[in-house]
Amino acid sequence: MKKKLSRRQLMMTALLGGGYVGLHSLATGLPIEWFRTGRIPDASAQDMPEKSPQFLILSTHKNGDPFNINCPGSYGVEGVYNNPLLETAMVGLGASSHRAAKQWNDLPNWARNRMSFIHHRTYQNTHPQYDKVMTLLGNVKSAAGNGTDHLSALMSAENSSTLGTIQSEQVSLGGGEVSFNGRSIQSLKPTLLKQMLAPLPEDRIGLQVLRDRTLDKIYAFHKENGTPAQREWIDRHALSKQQARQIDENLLARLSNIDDNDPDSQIRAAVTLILMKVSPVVTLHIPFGGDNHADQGFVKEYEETVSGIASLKLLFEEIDAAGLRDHVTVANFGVFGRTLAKKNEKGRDHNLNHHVTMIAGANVKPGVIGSIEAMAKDFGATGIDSSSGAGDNGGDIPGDETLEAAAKTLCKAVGLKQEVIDERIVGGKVISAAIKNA
Amino acid sequence: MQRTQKGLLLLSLIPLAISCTGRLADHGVPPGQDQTTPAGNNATTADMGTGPGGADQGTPAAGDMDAPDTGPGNPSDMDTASADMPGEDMAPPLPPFEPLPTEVYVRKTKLLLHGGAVTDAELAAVRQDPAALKGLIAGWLEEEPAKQKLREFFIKSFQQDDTDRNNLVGQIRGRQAAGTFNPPDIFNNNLRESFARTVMRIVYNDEPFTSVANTTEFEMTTAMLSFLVASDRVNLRGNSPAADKAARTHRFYNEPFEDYDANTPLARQIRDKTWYVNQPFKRPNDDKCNTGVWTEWDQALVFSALLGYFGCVTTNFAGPIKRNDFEDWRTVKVVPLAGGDREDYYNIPALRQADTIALSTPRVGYFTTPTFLAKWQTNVDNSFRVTANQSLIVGLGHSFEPEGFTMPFTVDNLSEEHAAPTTVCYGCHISLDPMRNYFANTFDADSYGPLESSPNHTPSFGFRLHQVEGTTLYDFGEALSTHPEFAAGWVQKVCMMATSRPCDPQDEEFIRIVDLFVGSNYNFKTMLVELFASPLVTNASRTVTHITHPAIASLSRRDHYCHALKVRFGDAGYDFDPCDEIQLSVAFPEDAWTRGSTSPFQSTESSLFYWATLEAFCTQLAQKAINKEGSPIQSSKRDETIDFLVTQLVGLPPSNSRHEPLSTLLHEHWDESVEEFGNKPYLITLSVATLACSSAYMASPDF
Repeated sequence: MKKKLSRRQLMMTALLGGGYVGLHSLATGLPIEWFRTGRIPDASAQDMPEKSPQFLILSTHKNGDPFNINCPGSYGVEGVYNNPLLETAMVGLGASSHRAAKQWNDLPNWARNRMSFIHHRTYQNTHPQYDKVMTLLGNVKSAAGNGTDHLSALMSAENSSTLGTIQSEQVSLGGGEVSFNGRSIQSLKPTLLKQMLAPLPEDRIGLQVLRDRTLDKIYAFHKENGTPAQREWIDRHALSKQQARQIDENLLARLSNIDDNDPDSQIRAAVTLILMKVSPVVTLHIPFGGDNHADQGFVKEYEETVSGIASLKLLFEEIDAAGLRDHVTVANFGVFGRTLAKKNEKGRDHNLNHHVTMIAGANVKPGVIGSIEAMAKDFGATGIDSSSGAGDNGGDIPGDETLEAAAKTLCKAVGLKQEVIDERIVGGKVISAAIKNA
Repeated sequence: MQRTQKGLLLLSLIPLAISCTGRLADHGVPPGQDQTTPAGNNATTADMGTGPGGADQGTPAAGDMDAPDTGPGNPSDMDTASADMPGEDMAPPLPPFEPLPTEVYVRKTKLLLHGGAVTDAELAAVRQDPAALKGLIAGWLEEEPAKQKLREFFIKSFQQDDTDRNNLVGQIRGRQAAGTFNPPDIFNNNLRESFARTVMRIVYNDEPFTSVANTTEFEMTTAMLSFLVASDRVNLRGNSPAADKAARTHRFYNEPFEDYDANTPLARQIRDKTWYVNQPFKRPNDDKCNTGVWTEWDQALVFSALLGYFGCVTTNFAGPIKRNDFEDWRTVKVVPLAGGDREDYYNIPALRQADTIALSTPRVGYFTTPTFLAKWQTNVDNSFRVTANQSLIVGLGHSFEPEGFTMPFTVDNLSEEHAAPTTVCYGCHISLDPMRNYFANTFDADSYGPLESSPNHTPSFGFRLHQVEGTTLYDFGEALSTHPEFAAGWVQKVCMMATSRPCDPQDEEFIRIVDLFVGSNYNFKTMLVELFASPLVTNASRTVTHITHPAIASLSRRDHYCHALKVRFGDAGYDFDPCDEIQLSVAFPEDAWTRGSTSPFQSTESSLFYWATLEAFCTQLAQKAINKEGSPIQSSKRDETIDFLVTQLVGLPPSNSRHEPLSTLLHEHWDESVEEFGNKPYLITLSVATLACSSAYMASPDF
């Protein structure tokens, strides 16, 4: 039987056998070594801890979901009005347990035993400030130090080479506004992935290889003759083609059953893209109640807290089934939380003083970090003692640096080195109480 | 009364660096959005200093563009700053710049505005005289492809997209009623297109473009009129007695009932609210759906039935509103209801004849359309702040910022929670809260329908050095249309569409075009011609914008790419709209306006997924076009097919220096394929067409 060649094998054969290495290198700007090994060597990868770096699946959106209302750490404070429809239970997070919506107990033990809930502020309370919050109000410095970038872009760029991913940009599946190096990232619909990545019939593969050679000649022409802007664009476009050829077709079947763009489909697509090693960071959106000002009786908050936790359960199950338990960190990070006091019988307002970032991963020490207290007619996050994780206004992390602290802790959880974290993020500090072996 | 004087302004003298919680915060103003120095305000120019954008910068006019096809490679054009560029002694090196060759920018201009391929004659005209580009642009704008393109641009830039039954239902159902609203897609398209068509009328009648903010004459269909009238009614349920309920009941039958049948005059059916529908709309043995009786209290159900949806079954326009009622576009003036009754929304024959309609709800400008209100849903807490803010973003290209605010005349209904004077919140809310009152006095925040009674807050407009008195939404529209930054806001929107990045509002070339736009009595076509022929778009020479916002090449986003394909196949005599037929086209990135953003969300860089989409899409396109009757892509006609691909589809006419190399490469690919894989005409044509369709010339407008 004739052995079917993968796209990658064909591409390598075409490139090396055809003597086009130099041309490809010229067209793409990649070192020749990349064409031989498929990755750019990175000496630093050898000194990373065993479970670092981590891929990251990040739920994010500008809606400002009431995620912060019904999770561990949000109960037991006088005046806080948790969802009246949700039953509560003590939810185990490692050795500790905390009152929360009982559905949190539905998550696998292994996941809860590496899950931390960080109570912090985001300092902003309008939807358009999502982009600002994602840059930690400009405190995420770009790699060149002359601008700012999204937190997810930082983690994606820094982990790309050590994880050996096809691309360094994040993949966006949740329709959110994600950017990398200040450039907007196209959001993808899971249902279309199987179409855009569909393998070619065998009788067309050879033609594709020939076609790639012709395209590369066009790229090389513009690389030689184009304007600076054209050269920059053609570099990226040529690289895009090579990246597309690297997709592991053996995993495409995992996309074939995705027939909608709902959170669960985003989850399945995200895990598949990580298995394909496409990107270090995949963003999606798991709703937890949405922009629920007009949520009569808090019904939507109830329903989506239940469905949101169920989606998280699916996510952890998919990660586990794919053998990625120790290689993928899961987190959520939004623009703000919502008000915790009861205002009336419907809905909640934006709360710039309270948001909860949940982080679950191999490098995470389970528990609740920080606490909440009465603040500005509602409730907000206190400062944090980084070593104990306790909410403490006299702690080494003031309330006004808890956003940066939560972000730095997430960076640490996905395996970024401390010096990189400190260089790229201004303010705050890693909450050691949330990190294993910190 | 309007005031636009600095002396009247209360600019923020407090360094508002303390947030609502007292936190030190970074509130950087985005490039080009300095709140205290609005673009186009000449009074501020002198204060700009000598940095980029200073008044001493030489900015070549369009007539100064490069000699024909100087092109990159000419040392005199490369990486050299003009002598009059600012700060050359001490500023950091200027970003690299090379002028685009004539053949590239002419191609780009036509692609973006029109979609068609540049002809040899057009290219020759501009090579001979760069100023000829303006005449070409003016001509292209009169052709149908450009009008289609412009209409789509207006749908997005006036934020009239994203309408569906879920975000629209409140307007017709109100707070107290119930009922599923399930209009057909063609109805949503009516709402989506209505204002863009209105703008097209304004533009092509050479009316001032400022009319978009204060017009009360809209392009509408009968179906849309019926919706507007229906959504003009409030509290239908109320405390009506049972007798009233009976009088408001509509009955729909699909078999003769009493003496109603297919021959019953429509006038009688309207009078009796008893409709004969000549098509089955009930499911057999389905009690839940076995009805055709609804009261107007639940008018979403009645209106849906008028459209042909009967609770469970969608008929093929079998309701009283017929297919043609979604297509009879005409100008309808909306006037205030001054006593008397409004027309019945179910009196379809009367609505078909209407060119004026009286409503109690003000319908003025782009910001009161059903689609705009649906896209930017508010709520009691938000209380139309989002609506007011998005109105400013559309009209002026600016959003509320906490610094440099302009005090309105009154501050009624100021949020106590958000507007403590010592917080950054104050800077926005002091202007925003009085402005939202224009809407809050009119619409219900939950349903977006009209209010039963107005709270009678006092609205006031104060934004970016412009204060206006007046209490109605008509006054709000006047405030926008007379705002000194209206022109700059729209030049900037077009600039972002064309270049995928902002123009520098302090660039003299930008200011020249803004001034020309104003001086032409806001003639939008005049502005388009000047801007697209300007180096701001052509990159034929360097202006300040190229220093502060270096030129980029961008990927072809969906609107540009899909429209060009359709036009170019059409020009070849083949009626084929690939993106309409290929589902994967929705994976192409598109310009999108998101909440609170003063610039569209635009992907510009290629990516793995963009490439994958492009290649897969092009393969499907080729499969659908090869050897089809009338198609210019025929596997038996190698040379003709390649000529079409290079000249028409890719858009490189023979006199373009890239024509011959690409043509040669495609021929070589064909020949090599035959050599390696044998004579397989279909597969080889498929590969050649895919290659052309996914080449850099199609993947980016900047090649």
